[in-house]
Amino acid sequence: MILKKILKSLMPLLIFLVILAFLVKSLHRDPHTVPSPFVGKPMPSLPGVHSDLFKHHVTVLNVFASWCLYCRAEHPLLMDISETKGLTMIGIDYKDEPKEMRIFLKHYGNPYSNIIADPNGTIAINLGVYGTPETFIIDKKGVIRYKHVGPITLNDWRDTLKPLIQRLLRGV
Amino acid sequence: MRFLMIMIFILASSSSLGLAKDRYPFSTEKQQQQFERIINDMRCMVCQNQNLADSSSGFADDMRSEIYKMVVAGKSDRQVIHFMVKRYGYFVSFDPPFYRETYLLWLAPLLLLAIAFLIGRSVYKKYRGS
Repeated sequence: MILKKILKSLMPLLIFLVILAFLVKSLHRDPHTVPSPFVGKPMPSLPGVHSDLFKHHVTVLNVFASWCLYCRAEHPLLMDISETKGLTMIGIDYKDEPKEMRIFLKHYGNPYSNIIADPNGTIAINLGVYGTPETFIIDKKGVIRYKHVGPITLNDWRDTLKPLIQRLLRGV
Repeated sequence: MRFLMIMIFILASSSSLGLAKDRYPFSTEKQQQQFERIINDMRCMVCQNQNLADSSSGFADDMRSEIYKMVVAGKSDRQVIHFMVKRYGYFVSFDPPFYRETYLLWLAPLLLLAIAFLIGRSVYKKYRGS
């Protein structure tokens, strides 16, 4: 009987703790980062792009645009990443003017060995992209291993992307 | 006066609905309805609490034209939704199927109803007892 009474008086505290747990968890969650259903799946076929482009080498596929401010922010890091031995960096130029893109790359440097123009965003939709920048890491077999939404920070690179790329380059 | 009436009529007829139909012309009423049904049931991934029909973002525009192309090509609702879900995940659909990630969402109303019933019963018992 006493036990029941104690339990009853503790009830509000328990409910509060459950709510607290959910609130704390959502503090660390960005609602704009939606997990991509593509991770672990082969690269989808993209209109006007040969699928062999993403095979036989580790690829960083970066969706960018000259008008995108966040792309500009991550650009110096992309320049550094592109110097990684054995790594191929391919850019998708999202809804951009070719002329503007050329000026952008001339000014900030060109990390891409290949640039795919996507003037009306069709390729982006086929890739499940919903903003710039987005970055995919693709292994030698052409399977998407990771997707990063938003600009890559130095921490993202050090803690997540670099270790994964090194592993993929070693062929694991 | 007649001139004025004609002008008003012309202005009134060029409503936004007319513009939308010009943008996405369909040969059949059925396809038109299908298109509207799908864009009403899909989330704009950029402005997450709006559907594709309401959103004016550039991204929603691209999604609409992509859906338009599929509808005109004679794809079914299921095929179009499957195409988008395969690329953007179940989150893109406002009508998600019963699935591992969504079972809590579907069962929550039943669960809450059961809890409410249990509380109600205990309260009822208490009052009847006294």
